[in-house]
Amino acid sequence: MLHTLKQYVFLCYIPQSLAKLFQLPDRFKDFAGQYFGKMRINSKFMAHCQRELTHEQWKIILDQEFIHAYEHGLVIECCDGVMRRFYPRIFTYSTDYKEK
Amino acid sequence: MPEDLPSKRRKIQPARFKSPSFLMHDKRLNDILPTNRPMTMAQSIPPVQPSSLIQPSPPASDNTDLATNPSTIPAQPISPAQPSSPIHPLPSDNTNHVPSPTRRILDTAQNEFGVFRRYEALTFPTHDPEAIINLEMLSNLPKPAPPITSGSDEDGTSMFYPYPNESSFRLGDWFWNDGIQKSHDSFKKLLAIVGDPKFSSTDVGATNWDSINSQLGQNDWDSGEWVDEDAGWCNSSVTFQVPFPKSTHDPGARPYTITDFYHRSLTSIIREKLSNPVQDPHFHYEPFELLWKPIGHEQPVRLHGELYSSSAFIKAHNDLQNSCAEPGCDLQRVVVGLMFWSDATHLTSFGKAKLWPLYLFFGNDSKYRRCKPSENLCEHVAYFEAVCLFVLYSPKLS
Repeated sequence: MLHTLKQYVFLCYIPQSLAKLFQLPDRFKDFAGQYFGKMRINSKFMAHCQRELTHEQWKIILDQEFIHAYEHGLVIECCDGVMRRFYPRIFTYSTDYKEK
Repeated sequence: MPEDLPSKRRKIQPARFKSPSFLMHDKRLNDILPTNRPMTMAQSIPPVQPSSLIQPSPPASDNTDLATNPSTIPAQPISPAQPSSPIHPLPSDNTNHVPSPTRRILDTAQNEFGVFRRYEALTFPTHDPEAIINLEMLSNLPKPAPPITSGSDEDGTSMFYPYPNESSFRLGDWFWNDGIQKSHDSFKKLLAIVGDPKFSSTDVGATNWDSINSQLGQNDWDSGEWVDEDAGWCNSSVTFQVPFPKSTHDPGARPYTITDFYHRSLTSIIREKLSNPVQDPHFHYEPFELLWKPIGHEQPVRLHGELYSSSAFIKAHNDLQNSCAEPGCDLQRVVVGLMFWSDATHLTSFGKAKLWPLYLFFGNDSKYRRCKPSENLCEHVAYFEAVCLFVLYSPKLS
């Protein structure tokens, strides 16, 4: 089922692949383990770090250029030869946010 | 349109829908809404000419001669609302003078299903993405494959590259793509290939299989544009603060950095999208309300379906039009609807190679188009390769 869904997504006509978001790598646990010592790393801590990482990546994606375009528009000559000023607006964001 | 519309369902109809002052055409027109019966949908329709949009409507003509008599068509869908609308003061009906900056409610004529669009604008848009829609674009049926006339292209390379001929290709396809275990089913497929009258054992015998398989294993994109920053991919490192709690031996925040975060510039994607002659004609610059007026009904019914006909998009558009323009700029201002989507994706049946790609769709495109499987094989092969590229980096991801 998942496989079929993925194939469908890959075949979708105009998906713009924008970024490869990271999940926390295994070596992050090694890093955290230095501080936790023998204590168990709890899942809330991991979830917090994963969310922090996601937010930092979004800060990079929504860069200064994008924010300027959001406020002042982006002048583009369209294929009909007309110059227009485009203002990006975010309408939807579907994702699996890391609660765990 | 009132600016404070709730973004979700409206139980109360806006007052303007109840106004008897709107002039609704009942002419049958298909040059704005491409909702003809499928038999005529493939017919090409001339684009709306902006100069003729504000001309008085000529008498209705039969819509079967659209292609041969374009001069009479563009004015027909236009029926500016009457000036008595209390919400939107309208310019006089003298259509020759320059329109004031006040936007008006503009209804297109109904099509044969009683569906019409309602714009809030100075004039009807000059760019109508739905005018170019034909039956093929709406259909999920794959295009008929071009007949295979010969084994090679004009430039002499095999159509089945890197395989030299069809027999070798089918055998290679069976070997690589038909699962990793032998089965009765798989055996029957092999028999079907070998038993095909077109199968040639001499073709297969002359094939250098080792060379082909090593070619299949090479990645053309290793040194290609996918890793080139000019193609829009940037490589950044991500740093965030990790808070270690008091119970640890050294509490406090510590920075942690992950390198090789690959991403593309949003503005460059938008520029690329709108400068692309294949994509741009399908891009809706202006939102509209899609309304349906059944026969015998006074009030039209709102139809929902696309982002560019949604209340949220219309509100964003109106907010933008009502905001102060950039100094010295009188260009048309357009909302680009971004729809992000991401999901963790397992790349292999075994192991932990896992990606979390972020995708972007444009809400200005029709959802039917967004979700339609590509007709252009190159398009999604290239896309699949982009995903595979990141398998190369997966030691850091997994």
